[in-house]
Amino acid sequence: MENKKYWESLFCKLDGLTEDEFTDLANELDAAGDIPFAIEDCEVTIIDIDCVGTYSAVYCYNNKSQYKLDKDDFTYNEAA
Amino acid sequence: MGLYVGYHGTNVLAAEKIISSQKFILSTGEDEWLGIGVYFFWDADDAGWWCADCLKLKTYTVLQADLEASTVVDFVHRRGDLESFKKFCNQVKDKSSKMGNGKKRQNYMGLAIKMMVALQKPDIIIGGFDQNRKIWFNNAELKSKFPLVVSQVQMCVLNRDCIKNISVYKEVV
Repeated sequence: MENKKYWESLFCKLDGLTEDEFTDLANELDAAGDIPFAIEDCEVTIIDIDCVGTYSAVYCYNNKSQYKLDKDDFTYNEAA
Repeated sequence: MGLYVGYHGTNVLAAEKIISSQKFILSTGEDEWLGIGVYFFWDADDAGWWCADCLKLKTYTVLQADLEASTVVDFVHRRGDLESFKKFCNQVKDKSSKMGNGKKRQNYMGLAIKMMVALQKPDIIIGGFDQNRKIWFNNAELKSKFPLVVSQVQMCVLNRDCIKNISVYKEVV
């Protein structure tokens, strides 16, 4: 029953999107890539990852600066 | 409420940090099949396989955790979830064939997963894969003779609050 509610709600939300809204959301998701914690106003790219799975270090850059994911508070901070 | 036990393999140092903080970092690779989350295997041996065969780690730790979720999308054990997801994929495909840059979209699966999570986030997504099971069926003839499929089951935890009681299951040193 729980899952029926989940799918009903999902389809309801999908159906509620106009084509433009859908395209905007899809583009937003494309642009965000798979980076969970976005740096504000930056398009970031992961350039180096070690320790796949639990990622002891994730580095990103936005054409200006390099950022490192803080393992404790899960935010990106400018790398030294 | 879905209750599961999951196994996660990683290097010794990362495992120590996870144990001490009782916290995982989300997996963010672009080829994550089930979306952004913390990945667990259903079978502890698969977590060991991931470390030894995929990551080529000589020393590693397999962690065990209890997973307590309210909303679970289960593509392995619930046919209804798979059927609903297929329907959802079709709708997504029909709505957006092009990306923002005008290029034709190649990967609808990735978009469908992202869209699913963005619109209605489940706590856990469970999927089955044939990664280290291919040895059973390495050619068409064997496939037809031995059609049994035993999936490698992975659980992607999108809501980290679901992860409880992280402990060391096995250490390989």
